[in-house]
Amino acid sequence: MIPRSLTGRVALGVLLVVAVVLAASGLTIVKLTERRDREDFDASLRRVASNLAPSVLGSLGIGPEQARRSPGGAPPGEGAPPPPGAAAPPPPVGAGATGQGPPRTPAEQRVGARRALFDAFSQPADDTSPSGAIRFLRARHPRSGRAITVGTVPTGFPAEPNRPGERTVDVDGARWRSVTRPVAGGVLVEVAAPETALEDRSSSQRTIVLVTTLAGLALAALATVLVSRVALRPLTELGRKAAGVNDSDDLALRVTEPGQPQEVAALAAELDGMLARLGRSAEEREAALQAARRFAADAGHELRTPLQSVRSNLEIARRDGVLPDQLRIALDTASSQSDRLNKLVDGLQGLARGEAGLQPTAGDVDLGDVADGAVFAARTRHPGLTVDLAAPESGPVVTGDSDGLWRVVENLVENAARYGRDGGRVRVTVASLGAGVAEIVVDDDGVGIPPAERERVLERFARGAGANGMGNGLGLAIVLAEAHRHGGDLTLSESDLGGLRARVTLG
Amino acid sequence: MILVVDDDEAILDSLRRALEIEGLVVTTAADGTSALRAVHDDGPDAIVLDVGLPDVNGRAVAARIRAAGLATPILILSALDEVDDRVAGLEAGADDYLVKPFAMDELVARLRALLRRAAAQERDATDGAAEAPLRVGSLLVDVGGWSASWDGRDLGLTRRELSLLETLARNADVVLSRDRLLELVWGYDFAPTTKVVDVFVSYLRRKLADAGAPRLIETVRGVGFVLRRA
Repeated sequence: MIPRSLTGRVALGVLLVVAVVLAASGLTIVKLTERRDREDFDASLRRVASNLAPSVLGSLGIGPEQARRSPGGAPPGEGAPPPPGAAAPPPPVGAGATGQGPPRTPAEQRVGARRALFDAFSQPADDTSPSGAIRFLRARHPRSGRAITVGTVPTGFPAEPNRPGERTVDVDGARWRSVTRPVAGGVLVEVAAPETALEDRSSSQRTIVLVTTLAGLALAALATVLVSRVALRPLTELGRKAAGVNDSDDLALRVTEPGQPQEVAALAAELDGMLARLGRSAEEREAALQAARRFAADAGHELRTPLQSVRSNLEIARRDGVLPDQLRIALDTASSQSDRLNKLVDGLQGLARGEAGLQPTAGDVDLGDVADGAVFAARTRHPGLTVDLAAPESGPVVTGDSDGLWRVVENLVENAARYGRDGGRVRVTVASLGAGVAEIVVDDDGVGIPPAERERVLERFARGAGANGMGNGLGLAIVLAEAHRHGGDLTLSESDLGGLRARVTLG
Repeated sequence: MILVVDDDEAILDSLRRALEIEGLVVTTAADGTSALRAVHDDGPDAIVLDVGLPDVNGRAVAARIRAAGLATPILILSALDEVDDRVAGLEAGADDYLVKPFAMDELVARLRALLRRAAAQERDATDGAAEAPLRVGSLLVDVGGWSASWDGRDLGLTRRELSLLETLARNADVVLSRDRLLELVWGYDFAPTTKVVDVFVSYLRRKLADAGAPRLIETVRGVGFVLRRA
C-alpha cells in the first residue's frame, strides 16, 4: 500500500512520524493527568477524613484533650479549602458545634458531634470533584469498641483495615477507592468513594486527547501533502520538461534551469549529459544514414547511365532484322542479362532506401489507394495473372512513405507472380488493425515456400527453390526493410489459396 | 524535331540513334544552357530532358521553358527513382517521366503520344475552340486561361495537372479508369511502366487540399478515379 507518487511517499513518511509523536505525547498526557487526578482524589479523601476527624472523635466520645494528646490526629479545620463533602467545616467539639449553648453532658456532646458529622456528610456535593462522590465514612475506637458509619457501605465491601493506607476495592465490578487515616487515640477513619468520577474524567480526557490527536493528524496530513508537493515541484517540473524533450524529439533541448534545488539540478545536469550524448549519437546515425542514402543514389546514378546506354544499343542492334542466328542469340542473351542488371539496380536502390530509414517526407498515406495503384500496375505487367484486391472503400490510413509502401505491394505481387503458376491467382488484402496499425496480406496459389526455407528467403540475394523466371533475390528483403522502416514486420506462412501468404504489418 | 538533353555522351548518342531509327528528327544538348539555347533557336516539338545536368539542372530548364510560355511537351529522364527528383521535375512543368534504364519502345511511344496531344491542343487553340471555364461547385477550371482555382484561390497547377483536373471535372461523378485517363490526358494507348496517373492524382489532391478544398478526387478501388460534385 505504498503510494506510487513521491509526494505521497514523503507525505506518508512524515505523517507516520507525526502520528507516532502525537500518539506518544497524547499517551503521556493521559497517563500523567490520570496519575495527578488519582493523587488529587486520594488527597481529597484524606482531607475529608482530617476535616471530619473532630466530629468523628466527638461522636465516639473521645474528648478534645484526648484528641490533642493523640499523635497523628490532624488539628481540626486544617487543610484548606474545605472538602465539598464537608463544605461547612464542623466547629470544634465543645465549642457548641450545633450552635447549642454549653454546658452539656458527654452523651449530649456525643449526639451533637454525631449530628454535626451527619450534617457535614449530607451536604450536597456542589461540584464534580472526586470528593463530591464520597459515599461513606466509618471509624472505630479500638478500646471502647464504639464504631460509627456515615453513608452507605455497599454490600461486599471488605471490613475496615487495621492500619492506615490507601486501597482500591472491587465491589460488584465497580472500583472503589478508600483511604484510612489515624486520627487520635488509635482511631482509624476510613473514607471511601467509587472511582466512577475518576473514570469518567479519565475517559473524557482520553476522548479529548484522541480527538485532538486525530484532528492534528489530519491537519498534519494536509500540510505535509501541500508542503511536499511544493517541495517536489522542481522535480515535477523537471519531469515535465523531460517529457517535452521526449514528445518533441528535439535532442537539442535541455532541462537544466536556474534556481533548481541542488538535488534536482544534479539530476537535470545528468539528464542534459545524456541528452547531449544521445544527440551526438543521433547526429552520427543521421550522418551515416545520409551517407548510405547518398551512396545508394550515387551508385544508382552511376550504374543506371551506362546501363541505359547498353540497353539502348542492344535494342538498336536487335532491331536490324537480318542478323545471323548466332549473333541474334548472343544479343538476346545480352539483352536479358541487361534487364536483369537493371532490375538488380532497382532492387539495390530500393533496399538501400528502405534500410536508410523513414524520410522526412513521410505523411498520412491511404494504404488502400496505394495498393489499388500497385495492383493496377501489377495487372499491366502480368496480363496472364489474376490479381484481386480486397480493401475497404477508403483507408486504412497509415503514417509512412507512399513510394515505400508502393514497393511493398509491388514486390509482394512480383514475388507471388514469380513463385506462382502461370495464369494463377494473387489476392491482395489491405485491412486496418486499429489505432493507426494496418496490414497488407498477399496470397498466391503457387508452390509456396517450405517452412524451413521461409527464414532464409528473407535474406538478400536468397532465392526460393520454386522460382520460375529470374528473380534477383531482393524482393522480400526490400519488403522486410520497408516493413521495419514503417515500424512493422513481414511474416510468411501458408495461404488458403494453396501457395504462400506474405503478411506485412505497418505502424 | 525532338531535343534530347543529357550530359552523358554515350546516352545522348544511343538515344539519338534510336530515335532517328524511328524516323524522328533529333537535336541534342549536353547541358542546361545549350538546351535553353536550342529551345529558343530550334523550337523543338518535344523535349527529352535528363534531370541531372551539370550546370542548370533539368528542373530549372523545365521551369524556364514554361516561364517563357512554351507548351512544348517535356519528358524528364531520371537516373534516380527518388521522389524529390521526380516531384521537382513534374512540378516544374514536365509532362511525364521515365526512370533510367528504360526501353526505347516506351520512350518512343510516349513521345509520339505527347506530340499528338500537343498538336491537337494547338489546333484547338488556333481554332479558337478554347472552351468556356468549367465550374464544378467551388472549383473553377479555365483551360483557355491555363488556370484553375478553388473558391477563388489559384491552385498553381502545371499544364499536365490542369489537363488531368479538367478531364476529371468534365466527367464529374463519372469514374475514369487509369487506362482512360492515360488516353484522355496523356494520349497514351499503352500502359506505361511508371505510375504516372497515381503520381499526378496525388499532386492534384495535395494542391487542392492546400487551397482548402475537401477531398474532391476519390479513388474507386479496382476501377479508377472520380471527381465528386461537392
